[in-house]
Amino acid sequence: MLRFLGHRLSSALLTLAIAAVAVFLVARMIPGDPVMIMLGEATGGDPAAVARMRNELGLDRSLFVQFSNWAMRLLQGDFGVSIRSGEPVLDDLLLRIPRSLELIAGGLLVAVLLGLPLGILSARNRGRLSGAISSIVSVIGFSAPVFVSGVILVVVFGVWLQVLPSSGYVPFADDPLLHLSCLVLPSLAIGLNFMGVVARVTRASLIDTMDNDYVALARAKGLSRGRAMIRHALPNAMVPVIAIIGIRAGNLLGGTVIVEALFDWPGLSSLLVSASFSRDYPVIQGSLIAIFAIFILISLLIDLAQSFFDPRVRATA
Amino acid sequence: MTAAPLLSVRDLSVRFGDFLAVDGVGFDVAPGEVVCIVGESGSGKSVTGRAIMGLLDGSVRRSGEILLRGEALQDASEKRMNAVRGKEISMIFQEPMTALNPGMRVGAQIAEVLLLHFPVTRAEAMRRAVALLERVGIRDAKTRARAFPHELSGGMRQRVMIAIACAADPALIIADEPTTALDVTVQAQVLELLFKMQRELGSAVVFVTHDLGVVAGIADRVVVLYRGKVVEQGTVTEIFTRAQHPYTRALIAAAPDVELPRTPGLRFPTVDTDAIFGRADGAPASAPAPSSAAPVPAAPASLAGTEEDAATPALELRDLHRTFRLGGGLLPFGGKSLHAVNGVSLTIAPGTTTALIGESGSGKSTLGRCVARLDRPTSGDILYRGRDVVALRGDELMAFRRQVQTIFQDPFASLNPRRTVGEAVTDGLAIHGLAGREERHERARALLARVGLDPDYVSRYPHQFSGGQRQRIAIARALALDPRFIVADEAVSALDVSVRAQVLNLLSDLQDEHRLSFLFITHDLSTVRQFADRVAIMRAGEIVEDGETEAIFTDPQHEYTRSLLAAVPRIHLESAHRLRPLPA
Repeated sequence: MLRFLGHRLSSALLTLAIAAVAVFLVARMIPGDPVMIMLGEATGGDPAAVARMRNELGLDRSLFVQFSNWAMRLLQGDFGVSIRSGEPVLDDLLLRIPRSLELIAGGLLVAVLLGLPLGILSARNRGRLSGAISSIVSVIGFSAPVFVSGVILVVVFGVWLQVLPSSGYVPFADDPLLHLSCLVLPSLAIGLNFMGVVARVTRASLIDTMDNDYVALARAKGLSRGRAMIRHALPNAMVPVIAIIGIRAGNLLGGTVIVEALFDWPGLSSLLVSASFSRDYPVIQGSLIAIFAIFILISLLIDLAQSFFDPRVRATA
Repeated sequence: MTAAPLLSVRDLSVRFGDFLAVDGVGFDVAPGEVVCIVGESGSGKSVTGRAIMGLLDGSVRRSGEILLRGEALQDASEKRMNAVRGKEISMIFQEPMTALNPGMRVGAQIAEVLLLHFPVTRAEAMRRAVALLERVGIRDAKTRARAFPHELSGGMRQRVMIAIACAADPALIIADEPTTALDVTVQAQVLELLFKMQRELGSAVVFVTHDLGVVAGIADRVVVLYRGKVVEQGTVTEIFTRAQHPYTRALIAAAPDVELPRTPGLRFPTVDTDAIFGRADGAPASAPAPSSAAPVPAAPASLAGTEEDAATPALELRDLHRTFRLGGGLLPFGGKSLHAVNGVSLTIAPGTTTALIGESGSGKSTLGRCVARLDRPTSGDILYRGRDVVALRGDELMAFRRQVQTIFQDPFASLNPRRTVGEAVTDGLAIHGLAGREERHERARALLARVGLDPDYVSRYPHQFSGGQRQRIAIARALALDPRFIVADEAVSALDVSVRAQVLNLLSDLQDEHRLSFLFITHDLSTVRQFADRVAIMRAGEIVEDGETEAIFTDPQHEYTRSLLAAVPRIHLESAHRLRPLPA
């Protein structure tokens, strides 16, 4: 198990290093110039002022020098300062990363807590009305894109029923209850689509697994149908479900861009979006690195979960 | 048979939709008795076993009586059945790969039975599970109990299955083809273990199998099934020495007999179910008799320097190696390597059959793939009619591909499910540009007739055929290009004896007509004695012994050959290795 963990951790770090190079280059490839954007209005593009500012920011040096400076400081935990605000990037990131993680965790929770039972139900009651209904619910779930389900949720719960805040963010420390109730709708918006996917894959995988001889053996041992399914089929059926969650975790991160905007949630994605508009390289790079790190972390957790359910995964590490 | 029966099955019928899988089956099992249910695929033997356990899907309709010590199990509540299953009646499944839960440690899988049926603590159940593992002959049981199924060999997994089945000291064990998936030496060990446990526990056994050799070694009584009906039942002596029903007699005659000396020109006896039972309506099982007049396209030999020449071997292997690298990641060093084929030399004369015998993992399939150039040897030479196979390029490689055809074990996996059988059979003709659409259609019909199938089947899809029919389709496909050399990798192993006999007879005819050479790869010694001219025994990548077939069978030199031969079940009661005394 330790070897497995070490193997996965080292490949995660390698991925992160490659991501850092890509992030740096991508940020420079966005057309536009942060200095021109900032100084454009104030000075009318005075060449001397632009050159001075570039020199201050180090933007006049070669890409390679810029990259190695940035990477060296990154290794020491220094993400640089925002070109626009002058604030350290890390402070902003540390503030916003937990908020985005909260959204992702909320979405995953919705997907798993609703999707799994839905999938199990429709597999178990295949050919019956309850099975058909749960299948329909999951199809609706994964057919609705985030911006559609998000708007519907806001209209229904926030505007008509007025049971939940339709947008906004309150720090947990200020008002825990309000904080959590603000989290409900965005989590649902992110998670509902995913719930449909989880339910469909769970259903298909479970039906497949139920045909295995070891489930018949469990019944032959004297286990009831339900217990044979929960104890023997379900854990094995989880392997492809977890794989799908891993593959789709990227969609979840992408979904935060829309959801953070829709619900006015000050997370990582909204930081990235605003930084992109002003070509604030350190912030773009910092938040992209953070997003990569989150993605790699999720993949790592997925790998661990998979090895928990399928001992064969551990052997092939 | 005077004692009150432990199990009484009366007028059992099982219906899947419109299909009557089991049709009025009845038999008794006395306490401690071993009853073998024998039949070919589709006879309903496995369904009968599962029906007794009440383990059929809800959509399946079951009627008739299943009495366990007089208790009517067909009317029992699900709760009562859960108490019966595992405790009174336990079950052993065929595939040790799929019948154990891959995500659960084997000790826990055994302990589960004990926890379900006895008031024991988890620790006590685990302790007993380890003791059971020791009893079924697993060394270092304490450590093995913590292993997952994939960490055990097939034989060990089947031992674990036996431990699970015996855990609650059941009165009856239903074993559904428990050794069919195992190598012959492992089969012998597992059977020995199963009947040692059976003696100790005094359980009765219902043993479902297609293998009459196994039956001769273990049965007290035999129930013969055909298409869901009992054809005949009686003591093992009655069935093997004075069977009444022509089907039983034909089945026994068709069973491969490893003791029968090689007789050139001998036909494998077939089971003509149409003659015995009359033709089942709508199912033209063995349609027109294979006609040797059916046209097979003549292929001009365009592989230079490969003209018919009796002096040149059809195939010659010289110090062949094939090594696989295991693990080690992306780097081209480190990790372990597996010598699948390790220095094999072999010569096959034109128009002859060489059987390559080996157990699973011996490297025999890898060798076959190298010969057909589906894989490249790491080193060594493969000469086909004197030409270096590895060096063939372009047109010469195409000519080689026409002349050397492969028939694989699993015809379902090697037939594209979305293409009609006619397309599949004549694909080669299309690829080699040998015939137009119309002509291919005609050839497909002729080829199907050649392998004993109805020519009208050309427009059907693979899933509409039985396993035996699919294997004949695979053979028709191999024949389409008029090959000179056929690599048959376990080509008949999955077939019922009756179909196997037809296919082997067909291959013999083709060999006589076209001077075909065969590399016949198999684990099954019993069919080989009549079929092969020479035999090579392979173990762990090396050929331990090869020679004339009769010499190998009558005077094996290598100890491994002797142990293989000893493990093959005999189909004569006199020579069968009986694991229990013959009933009076």
